[in-house]
Amino acid sequence: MTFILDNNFILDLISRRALNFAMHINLTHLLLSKGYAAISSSQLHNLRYVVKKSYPQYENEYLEIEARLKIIKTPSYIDLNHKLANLDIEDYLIELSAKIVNGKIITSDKQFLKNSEFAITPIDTFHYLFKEEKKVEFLPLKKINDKHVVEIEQAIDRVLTSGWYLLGNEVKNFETNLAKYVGVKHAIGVANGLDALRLILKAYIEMGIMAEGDEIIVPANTYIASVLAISDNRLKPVLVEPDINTYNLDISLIEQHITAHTKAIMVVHLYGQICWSQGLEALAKKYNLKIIEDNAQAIGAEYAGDSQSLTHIADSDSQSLTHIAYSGSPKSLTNIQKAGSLGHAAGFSFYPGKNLGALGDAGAVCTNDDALATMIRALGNYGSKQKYVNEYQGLNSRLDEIQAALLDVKLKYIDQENEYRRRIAHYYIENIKNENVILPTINYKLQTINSHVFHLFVIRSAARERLQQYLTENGIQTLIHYPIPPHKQGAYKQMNNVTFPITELIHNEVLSLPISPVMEWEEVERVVKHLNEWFLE
Amino acid sequence: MPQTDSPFSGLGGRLFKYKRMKTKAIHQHDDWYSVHLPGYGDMPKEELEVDINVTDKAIINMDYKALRGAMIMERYEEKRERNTVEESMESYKYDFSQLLKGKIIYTMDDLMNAIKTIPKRNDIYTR
Repeated sequence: MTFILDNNFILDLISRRALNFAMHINLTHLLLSKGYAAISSSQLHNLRYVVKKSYPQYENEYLEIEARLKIIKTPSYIDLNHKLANLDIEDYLIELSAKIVNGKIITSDKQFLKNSEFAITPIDTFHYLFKEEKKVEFLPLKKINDKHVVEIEQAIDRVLTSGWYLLGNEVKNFETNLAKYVGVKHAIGVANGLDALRLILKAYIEMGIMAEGDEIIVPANTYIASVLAISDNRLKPVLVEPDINTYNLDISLIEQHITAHTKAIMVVHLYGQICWSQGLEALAKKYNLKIIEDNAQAIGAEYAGDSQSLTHIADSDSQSLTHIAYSGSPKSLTNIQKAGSLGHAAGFSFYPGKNLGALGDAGAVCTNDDALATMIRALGNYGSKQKYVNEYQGLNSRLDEIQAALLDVKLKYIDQENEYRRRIAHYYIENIKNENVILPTINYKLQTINSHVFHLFVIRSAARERLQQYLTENGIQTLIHYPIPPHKQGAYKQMNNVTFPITELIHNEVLSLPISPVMEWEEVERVVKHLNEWFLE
Repeated sequence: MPQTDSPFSGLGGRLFKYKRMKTKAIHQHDDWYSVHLPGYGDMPKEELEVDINVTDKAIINMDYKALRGAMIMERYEEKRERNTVEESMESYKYDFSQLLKGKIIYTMDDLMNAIKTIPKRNDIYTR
């Protein structure tokens, strides 16, 4: 939410001449503390000039306030025939800035209020904020990107003026930085998360490691993309039930599903929690299977080895382990690996709602396998390593320069933002007390809470629909991840009669609560309060 | 005779001072011309008394930056006097108290102290 302060709003404040001065300073404080206060770049020179000339004694105060205002650019698409432009060009430029950010302009100027739909009075701003305050948005994407808007603007301008939009330096830089962050030799930008998984499997087929009809073990409790990537390559998905506590693939059930045709295990780090164990690695080694990570949801999650010592604590009270482990990775832990570096290859999604989200579809493959990386790069580029020479029947699945430039900006903040998500999750786990709500469980076999990046905070309730309705009525937006499991989808009619009881139970009961790096603490508290006040009649 | 202090419409006249002079205009070739301008010494039959405003020499001689500054101040003063809405304090008291949750600020000094904990713009975007 952005509120552009009209010149006279700021000058009335600085000069202490506002009629409702108390309201002025409190509104200013409220907007600044929430990060909502802004000015248009077109106002800067005027404000500075007037303050310097008329109120030099308050110049330092003005500069302190100005340093905390967002500056919204004045766009180049100026319509000088616009009604407001003819009335008052300065007001028109401010309005254009407000339009860019879909914000409001706070002013007491009757002419401005009459001629701009973006202009509201200071007191109406309070009413507006009060109404907004009652809503908790599930995932405010605009606000998330607003946090980095200056760097994003710079990145987009850089690409726009470069004249180079595909397979350029922005993609190279992002791939280098992503590989370094994940801790792998290769990162290859692709068009989306599904393509990342499709290309891994397609590359293994081209390399002769897999063939049509081979089986890939995949969790039954997953988003359909994991299964689509397999069937799209004419491989056979073998669905395996999840662990009812973590919702991730139950590793103990894998071996009974391995046949002579099994070529790989696709683990999905669902909702942001790592699905891994030493047992899984041993199993893959024993049967010579590839392990493919579907890391669409868990960028930044860490695996620090399995812990036997903590298991008994978790067995008795798994939620209390969350409390024990919350302090983050103990320094004594070495050999911490990030999600996406554990298996033979990993697919990443940068769908806008992901912890690392683009402004559209984007994805990547990470691997330490040189041959696999070379093959995937070629397959994603029409099967070509050299322009107009096509060795394979490939796809067109490339990350573009703008998305790469933007992702490179946001990658720098991913650990910080994941940490904030963990703080919210920790607060939810510690404070939601309702016998009709089942809270998520951190995998007690992993040593730190950093094994979860809480892409989603998913609770369960047998009365899910009623709970969702209740939260909606109280202004709290929730979503269901996911309402229908892959084996019950029309896309897989041949599996519709198969039953996976745990998967189906999860799909019938899960509800995702709001969680994001821009969620305000009052919002977190409000979610907890309403959940604790909910009761079933 | 020259006169002073005539507000020029639209600018308010607080900073810009204009000299007023009386002159005569003549109608020639379907248009009006001032007799005091060079080249028009003769007085034809059709004549009219007019008032025109001539800008002060000081304003004419201002460079761009000085002129821009003067205009900004002029505009600021103009807007200051433009009609502003008067809002009832009663209408927002409830929202006000709910939103601020008792953390009410009373003076400018209090505001300046309170915002010290808010990150500056560059800190926000580089943290």
